Amino acid sequence: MITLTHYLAVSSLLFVFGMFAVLTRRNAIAMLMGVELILNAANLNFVAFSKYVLGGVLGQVVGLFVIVLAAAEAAIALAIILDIYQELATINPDETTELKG
Amino acid sequence: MVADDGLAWFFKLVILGTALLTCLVSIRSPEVFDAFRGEFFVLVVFAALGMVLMAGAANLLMLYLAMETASLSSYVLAGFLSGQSRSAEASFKYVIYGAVASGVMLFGLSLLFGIGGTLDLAELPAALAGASPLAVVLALLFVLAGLGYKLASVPFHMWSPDVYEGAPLPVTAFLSVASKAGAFALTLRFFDEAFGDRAIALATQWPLLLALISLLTMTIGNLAAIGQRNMKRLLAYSSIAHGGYLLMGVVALANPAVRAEAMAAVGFYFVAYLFMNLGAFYVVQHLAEPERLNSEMIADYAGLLRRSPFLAVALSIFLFSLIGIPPFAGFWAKLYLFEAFVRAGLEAEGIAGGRHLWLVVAALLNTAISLYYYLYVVKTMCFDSAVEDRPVRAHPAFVGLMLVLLIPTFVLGLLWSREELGVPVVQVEASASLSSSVSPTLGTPFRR
Amino acid sequence: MEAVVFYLLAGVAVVFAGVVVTTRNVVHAAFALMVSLGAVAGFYVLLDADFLAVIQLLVYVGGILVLVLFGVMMTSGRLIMQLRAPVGQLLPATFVGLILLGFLLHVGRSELPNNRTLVFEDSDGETARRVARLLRELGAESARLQSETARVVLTFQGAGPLRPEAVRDARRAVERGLQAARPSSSRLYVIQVQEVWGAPERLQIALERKGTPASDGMAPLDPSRIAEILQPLSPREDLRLIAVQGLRAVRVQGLSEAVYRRLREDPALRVLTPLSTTAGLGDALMLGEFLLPFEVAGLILLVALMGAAIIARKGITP
Repeated sequence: MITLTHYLAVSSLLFVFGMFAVLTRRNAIAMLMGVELILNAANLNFVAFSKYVLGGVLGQVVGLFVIVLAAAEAAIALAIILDIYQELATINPDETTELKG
Repeated sequence: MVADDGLAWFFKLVILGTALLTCLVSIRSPEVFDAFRGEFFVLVVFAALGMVLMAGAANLLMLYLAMETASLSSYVLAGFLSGQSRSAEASFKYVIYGAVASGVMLFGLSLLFGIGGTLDLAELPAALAGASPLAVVLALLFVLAGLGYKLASVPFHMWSPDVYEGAPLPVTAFLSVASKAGAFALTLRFFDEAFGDRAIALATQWPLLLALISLLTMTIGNLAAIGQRNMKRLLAYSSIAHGGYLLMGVVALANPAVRAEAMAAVGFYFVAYLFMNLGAFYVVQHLAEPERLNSEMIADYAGLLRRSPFLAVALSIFLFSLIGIPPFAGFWAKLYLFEAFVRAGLEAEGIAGGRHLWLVVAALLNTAISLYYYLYVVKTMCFDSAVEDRPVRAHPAFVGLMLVLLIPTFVLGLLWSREELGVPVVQVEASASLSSSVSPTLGTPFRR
Repeated sequence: MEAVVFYLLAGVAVVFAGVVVTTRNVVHAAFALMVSLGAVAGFYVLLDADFLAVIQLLVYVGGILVLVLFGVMMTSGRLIMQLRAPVGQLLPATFVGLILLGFLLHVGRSELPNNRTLVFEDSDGETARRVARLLRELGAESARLQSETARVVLTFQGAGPLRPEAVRDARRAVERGLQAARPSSSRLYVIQVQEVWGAPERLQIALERKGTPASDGMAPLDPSRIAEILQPLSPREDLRLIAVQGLRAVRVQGLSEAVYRRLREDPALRVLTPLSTTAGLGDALMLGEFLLPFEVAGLILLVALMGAAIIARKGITP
């Protein structure tokens, strides 16, 4: 029998993988993929809690909004990443060092 | 979903005032690219709308949506300069850090939703009361990652100096005041409504956590500001440090007896901060224009007092106010804030209830540190000899704008006595969505 | 069966998430992400979120990942890129990741509410007795048993076949009636309009409580009280409220996993399935309390559209 704990374990794993990608990747697009994993982990939490703890569709409503926001954020982020690639020919956050104190 | 109480009302005024000034100074700013001037104003309005929603968000979903509205508009605004790699880099760092922070925050919100079983902030305290403190603290830490990013508090402040330096100056000024005001309104409401309960504060120890973040933020902000040669960057670090002081107001919420006073103090701080910080940024912007100094470096400000007495004096006054020297508004703002904090601490029972008086000592020491770098700028302007003697003329319209900002910086603290702190918002009643479980004066959180 | 599917999906989701994090090829990472997110869509189906699963596949897997792949293509001359950080950063990141995972798993396993709840239909009162006896036999004394009205069905009668405006008016009238009786109460109900098969002049509106009755201190659904509230109001001249029926049910809370399974598999008990989640989603977004967030989400998409256009064009325009 599958319980809430099972879903939380999967979402925790996805979240940690996402964090790991964000911390170790040296490529903005790969970091963005890590963020997508984090967002999905959160969404899975919302939907699972909605079924097992509350009943009803509250968590699913939130999940829907998060998917829409992820699309908007990805569009903006990729436009900005392309922009910086044209300017500096790199998308490694460690190599963009024009701004320094 | 969205609260309509004094807290929201007050911060909305601050945000909209900042947006209005931003639009005014951007009309002729050469930094705003002509081909997209229309889009620039639309984005400022969208960002302001997002921040206004942040000030009122009383629901976990609304809170996230409002933050994203403000963030997405700000990312684009930060990268608005064409053909400048600095601006592109600013928005690049902003969006990468921001996407991660908001993702982590969403994960924290999902945990809170699971623990509490509700999205409404007002319903959370009852739901959290029986929950395991470990789970709540874990969720809170994740949420703090997102809030801390918006507040530019340590350890999520790294983006802030780069973004402030690279973004167009009107945008930097806008972000430093309005974005922070929205974030603080959100943080105040979040901790007041969802975590204001005494038992939860004791179990999770969030006041101690925030006190530590506050200490680190003000100290690191001030220490990093020393030795900055670029004026925008110096103001960015100064803005981080002010965020640290302001967090003291959130810590004071742990004592329900002082919560209205603490909110009022943070609100007043933002009114003062609006005038003095925008003033400082706008002088820097005006000086950076090609027909004047064409530079943002502090070294180029040498001898400014002789070249343009008005601009030098105006900038000095704004910087004095930022330090907190009487009689300027910044002094009163700090005084009210520290006083609220001390009262919260003295009336609290034990360290868990918010008895973090050491933080006031740290804040005073930090103010002393900040004297050094602010006064260094003033010294450069007034006593160093200029490289060239060509006079610098301020645009007449700019002089008018400066007067609008200078006069309140002078008189705000004197006219706005403590007893009247609540005056602008007394008429606004709390909506039904705001629970009145904590104190009967909730409808007018700024009245004592 | 559910368990087999779950473990299959979990394996796919986690393994491919691992590939996303470790591969040196960005394109491989993007495709692995696609598979992983597809598996998440499968989870949504298991969690009764069918509509969300479809959206996940269409928007996430279909839309966002294509966007990401475009980004990959336009920013890399070579496919193999320096993706990984030096060992000096990998080790602390692994350490942090493991600690985080440990905390999350611990919280998920033992610190979160994990009491199962079941609701059975109980039209004759027999089910309540049967459940109580079963609970005694299984030694589940801590479980709480509560008999309640789980759903109220309002039946409206029109003069002729009902048109969409009449349906909308009836729905509004019910919402307003509930709202007037108790402010903020309309958002405590899931309201769903149902057509009556074979009777086009009739219309049924089902009301169900959101969440558990204990969470907000509201009394459970009470058909006579609801009839009293809604009887005087007539949404239109040609539409009358003719019947208010309550559906009795037994709610069992605080079940352990074993007892939950035992009760669920009992052939004599009928589990009450909640009102359709897809219709509930649409209701919440377009008519319910989430209309404002819906508008804000639209605004965010507009900002994204404008922002991407500005940033993409600013290099081209002189």
